[in-house]
Amino acid sequence: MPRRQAVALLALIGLLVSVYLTLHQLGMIGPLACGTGGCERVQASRWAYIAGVPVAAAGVAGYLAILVVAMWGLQQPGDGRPARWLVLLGAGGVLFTLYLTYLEAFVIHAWCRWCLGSATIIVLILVASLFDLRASRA
Amino acid sequence: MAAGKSMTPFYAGLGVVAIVGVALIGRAVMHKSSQPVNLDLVAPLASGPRGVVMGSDSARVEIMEFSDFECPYCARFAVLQMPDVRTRLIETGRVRWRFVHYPLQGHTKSPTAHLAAACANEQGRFWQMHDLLYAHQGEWTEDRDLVGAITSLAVQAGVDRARFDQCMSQRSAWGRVLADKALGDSIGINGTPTMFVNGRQIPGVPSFDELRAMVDSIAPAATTARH
Repeated sequence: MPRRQAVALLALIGLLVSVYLTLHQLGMIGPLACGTGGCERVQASRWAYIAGVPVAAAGVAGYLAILVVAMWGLQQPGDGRPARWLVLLGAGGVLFTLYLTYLEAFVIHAWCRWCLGSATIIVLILVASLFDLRASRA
Repeated sequence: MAAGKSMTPFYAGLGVVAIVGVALIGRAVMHKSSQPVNLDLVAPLASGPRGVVMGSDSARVEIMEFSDFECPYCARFAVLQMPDVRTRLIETGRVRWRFVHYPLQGHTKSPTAHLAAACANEQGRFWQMHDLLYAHQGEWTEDRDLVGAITSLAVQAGVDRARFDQCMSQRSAWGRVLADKALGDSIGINGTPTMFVNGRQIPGVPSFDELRAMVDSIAPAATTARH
């Protein structure tokens, strides 16, 4: 249960970060609160959009899905299905984040602190989900 | 019931995080809409003539835009806001617009587009090329024949093909792009579009209404009639 609580809390924080970045990409928020300025460079790059949709919007959808599954899992403590779904969603999120981090490091040559924060959150979610899956099988 | 009780602190904590997060995001949204002009003064802009200018020399307001042809934000501004800016602020003599080339690192197709725009500028066709590059950004950035796609736009913009091709192959206008880029680097531009109204940086990407409000605050419409 504490692991699913942690996943839910992390997903909520990730969701808020993604909403913040999405609103920025939609022009509803001014400059990002970002000490290095790299956030603007990353968010202004062409890789900040996929088929015209802000990449951060994918984060909103992903974190929302993880939050919903985690809340469902909290209502069904003995059920192993939420644990499997959380691992699946977390792994997908980590793979996508790895791709975005690669773009920051080797293509855009700038780091967005919010994106790195989101990367940390999704990795923690995956780790907590793996522990949850192991516990659910025990 | 016991499980429900033990979960109460967790749900309360989750609620607090949600409320604080939404409040902070709401504050950021409100801050943007209530802040027409950022007073972050950027001084060293007057390091010689840079960029491509549209509008009257006597306009009391100059808006300087650092822009990248491959940047989606810039395209959105150019397509959605710029037509109103042009007809209602520039053509009425209130604003002089200065476009400054700022191809971002990592945008591998952007330098070719900027060179093409600079070449079109040599034939007095910069703004036509500017509009076409942004309007068709999604097409030329995906085209395998980048130079061919951009040349096709230049022809639509009305350039003389032979002179344009020569400029592109000899990269004779590239110095202009480099000079603009150097200006942006010297003042720490780190994203596009970045705009300055009479030397003061605007936060984020403004809408037409926000730009007009800034212009009104500097040069009210009635007083610009004598210029």
